[in-house]
Amino acid sequence: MARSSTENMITLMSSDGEEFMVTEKVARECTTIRNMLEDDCVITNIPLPNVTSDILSMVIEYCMEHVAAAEKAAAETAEKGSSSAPAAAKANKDLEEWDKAFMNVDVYTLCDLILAANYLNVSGLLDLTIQTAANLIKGKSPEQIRKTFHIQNDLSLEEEEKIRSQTPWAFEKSE
Amino acid sequence: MEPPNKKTRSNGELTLSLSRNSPDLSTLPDNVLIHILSFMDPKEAVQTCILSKRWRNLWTCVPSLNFDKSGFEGSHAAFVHFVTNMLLFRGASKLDTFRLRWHACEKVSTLGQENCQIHVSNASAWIFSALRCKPLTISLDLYGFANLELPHALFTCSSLEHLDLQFFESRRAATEPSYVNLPNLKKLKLRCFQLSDPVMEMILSGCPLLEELSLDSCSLNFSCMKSDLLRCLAIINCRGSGLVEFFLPNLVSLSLKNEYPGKTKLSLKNTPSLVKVSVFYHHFVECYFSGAEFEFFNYLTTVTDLELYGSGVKELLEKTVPNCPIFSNLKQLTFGQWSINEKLDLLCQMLQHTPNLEKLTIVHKKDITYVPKKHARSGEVKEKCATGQIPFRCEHLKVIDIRYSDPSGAHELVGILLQNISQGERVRIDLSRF
Repeated sequence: MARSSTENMITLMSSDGEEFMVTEKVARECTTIRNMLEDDCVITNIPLPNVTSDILSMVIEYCMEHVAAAEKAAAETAEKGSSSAPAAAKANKDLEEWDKAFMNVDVYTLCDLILAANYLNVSGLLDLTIQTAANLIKGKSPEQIRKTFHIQNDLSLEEEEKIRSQTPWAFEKSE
Repeated sequence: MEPPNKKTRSNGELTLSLSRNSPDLSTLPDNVLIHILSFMDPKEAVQTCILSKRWRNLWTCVPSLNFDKSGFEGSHAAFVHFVTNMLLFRGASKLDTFRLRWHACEKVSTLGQENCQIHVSNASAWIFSALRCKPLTISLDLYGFANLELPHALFTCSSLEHLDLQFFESRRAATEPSYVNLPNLKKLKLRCFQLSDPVMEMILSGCPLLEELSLDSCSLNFSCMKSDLLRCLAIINCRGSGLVEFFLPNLVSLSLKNEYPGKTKLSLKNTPSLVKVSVFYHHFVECYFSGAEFEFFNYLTTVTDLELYGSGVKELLEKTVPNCPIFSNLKQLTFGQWSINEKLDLLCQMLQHTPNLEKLTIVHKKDITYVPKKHARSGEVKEKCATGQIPFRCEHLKVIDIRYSDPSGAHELVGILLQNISQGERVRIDLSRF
């Protein structure tokens, strides 16, 4: 991605003290940071005590990819009057593929990313990670879900039976 | 899946700094877990109640309910049982969106009239429970519910912003709302409604913030449509017999689509803000637009983006293009779904009236209503074009985007356009096959 030297750079600092230099445009993908910048426009160094360096680097990677894709589409529109529909459809598909590959992570990383996307308020990344988590639950038995997400089952067998008998309508098998 | 007990990180050297506990679903806040549940099928969402104590009641807080019979494993009776219970046990917790898609009585004979009636009363009751939770969006997609009388409360729900009511068979005029007061409604979509003058007026005056209206397969038994705020209007496959006059001073976008012959006449005299217009007619109807046909284009001189599709449009152009005005604002023009090569003169003539056009899109397709006897005439026309008798000048034209099914026709089209355009060397031509 070509970048002009005059573009504002922002330093993001992770909870473990690592610094990441990003363009203001990329930083603005995070609504939380965008709000900070709008409140105080001279701010250039932002500490993010809730995000570790490895997760922050992934969030930045996501934001950079999406900013680049949007810039490319905008440049095409400016150059050609308007972007052609097939080219736009292909660009969308490429970005979807990129998102899919980006979501090829283990459950811990996924949960970390959900937390970071929620805290930084990156709506695209939040939807992507939440959808990925929902897909992981889909079609699994309760035991499998607990195992996948390491959910401690603090219900006794009797308690679980009781809940099932109180909500029979949710557990009926299709005939 | 990665082994659950092993943490894999892309940057191995950074793992040293991770001294906190491993995050998993348990460390996520409730609002995030509820967000996950709202992305799931309702039945699977409820079944998470036995995962652990924390998950026991999370499902009751999901703010978006999407009940779709086609995605539900089980009979109609099982669907009724499930939806009724879920709505009952979730109580009145916050609800943003309620969607119900249920094609229940497609074959009344196999299901029995009596069962159909039971389904209708169930659907009514569900809508009623959803309304008590002050939803922002209600979307109904119902097949076999012609007799459903929508609850009065649906048309007086002050929280509603989007309302989408799609039926699939003609409703009786008696089942239409008798009173409408939706002070926050911005988007309304109606399918298969009977719209008389009083009903239309009640809707438009009862929805003072309405910006987008879409009427699909409705009966247009009204003579005028008045709204100061409406910005987008779509009329799709609607039937009617009389003249409909629009008094829509802020209408920006208009989309008209009709696959069947009809007799409705539409008057665009009072729509001065139009910017984007899309017309798709398979059949041309004499006097579809009020007055002489050419008036249709006279009311479109403010438009920047015009789409003209279908063989009905070809006939409209034949009658109007010679007298049509100059479209000085027009930047994007889309043509298609008829055999354009047969009428290239129309295309070139139209382009003589669009001096500021920037993009021309042509969807090129063999016309199904093609009549061979016109061959001789179309040959003449091509010759005319080829000798450069219909030159057009669009100085700002940058792109001609041609989508085609028949390559030879498309190449012929490009050839003729290039012969007639005065600044052909500056135009980029995109060709893509569909």
